[in-house]
Amino acid sequence: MQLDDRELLQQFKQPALKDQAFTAIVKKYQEKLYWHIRRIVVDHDDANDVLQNMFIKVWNALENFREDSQLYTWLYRIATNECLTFLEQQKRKSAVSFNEVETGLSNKIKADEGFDANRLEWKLQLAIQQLPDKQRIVFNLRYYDEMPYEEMSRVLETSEGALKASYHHAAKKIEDFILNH
Amino acid sequence: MWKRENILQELEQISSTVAGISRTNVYTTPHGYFDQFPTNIMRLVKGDRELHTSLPSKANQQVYAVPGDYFESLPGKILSAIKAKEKDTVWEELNAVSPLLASIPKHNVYQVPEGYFQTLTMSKPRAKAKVISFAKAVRYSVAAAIVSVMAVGGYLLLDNKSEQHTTASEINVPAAVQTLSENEIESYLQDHSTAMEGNATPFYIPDAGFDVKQVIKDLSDEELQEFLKENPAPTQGS
Repeated sequence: MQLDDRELLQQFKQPALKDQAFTAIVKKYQEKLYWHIRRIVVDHDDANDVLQNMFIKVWNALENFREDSQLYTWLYRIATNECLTFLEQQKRKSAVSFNEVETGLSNKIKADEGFDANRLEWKLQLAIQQLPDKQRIVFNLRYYDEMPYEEMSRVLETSEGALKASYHHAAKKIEDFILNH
Repeated sequence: MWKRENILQELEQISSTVAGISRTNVYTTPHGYFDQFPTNIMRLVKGDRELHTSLPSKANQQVYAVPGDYFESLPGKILSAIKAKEKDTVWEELNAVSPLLASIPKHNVYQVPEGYFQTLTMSKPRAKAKVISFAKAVRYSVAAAIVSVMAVGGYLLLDNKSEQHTTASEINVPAAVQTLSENEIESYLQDHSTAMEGNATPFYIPDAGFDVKQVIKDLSDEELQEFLKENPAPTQGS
């Protein structure tokens, strides 16, 4: 039986149950967070690095986690920030412009062993990578994770109105890309 | 988690094209990735914690290591890098101005005698210049002018009469001045006093650039008297 977040957090604060509680939290959220990260950084190895870094940060900070926000909202926020930091590092490392990073992500999609240019699902992935970071994250959280704007607003610390506008623009840009490629 | 919302209906209103695409996950993960991940992450965080707990008790004790001569060679490496950068900058600038010039090798074409720099010694420092008072300087200058006038006059007078003559440049003026007595110089100045009178200023006296009153205000009367005794003001015609 899966424990709820509040119980897991209580267990984490007890030294004897700390490891067990943390493992349970990882098991509960790893897949959702992995896919959230993977859709942003594209490559599996990069996604794995970001996910590991993210959970190490969670381990170090969870003891001081204030329960005034939901655990999963907090986890998504850390994961999103880790992704943005990773993309920023990539830009700095290769000293390339934002557009070149997007091209790099598109190339990673094309390099995926399952890539099929004729499948609309893959074309959708290419279209998503053309979006600016923030729009891409908003689109993914809404389209794939089906996150309510209210939750998304807590994760991204942005107003619901701005998020709705971002999602609208993102969907339109994706449509344009699919129709013209 | 959150209550499921009708995402497709919302998307349909924005873009029916995008809403029509299957939401199938196209990405894959290595086999058993999610089964192993919790164990891997626990190993990582434990390793991280063990690393923290095994840190030396002395906060300032260095746990990292650097190659043996790292710090010795570091300044040289930094300097070389700076120099290389400067060199590149200079070359780039020249190349922009004149590619032809930039293409010419910068080898030194000049040579010095063998061992020149090894045997090079500093020359003996010059003796301190003797300080001559302004009044004395005026006298010596006037004397030099007299001798020069005499020499030129003599040359003009004797030029047609003698094939063997002495040019002004051949006269040793300082030596000639030394032979003149003070009386002869004063006598000359009296006969040629107009040059020293009125607004005619035979010598350019540069502006001292400071307030003389300010400078001498701290001097005692005795010191001023002594100075004036040593450096009497030139009288008219002297």
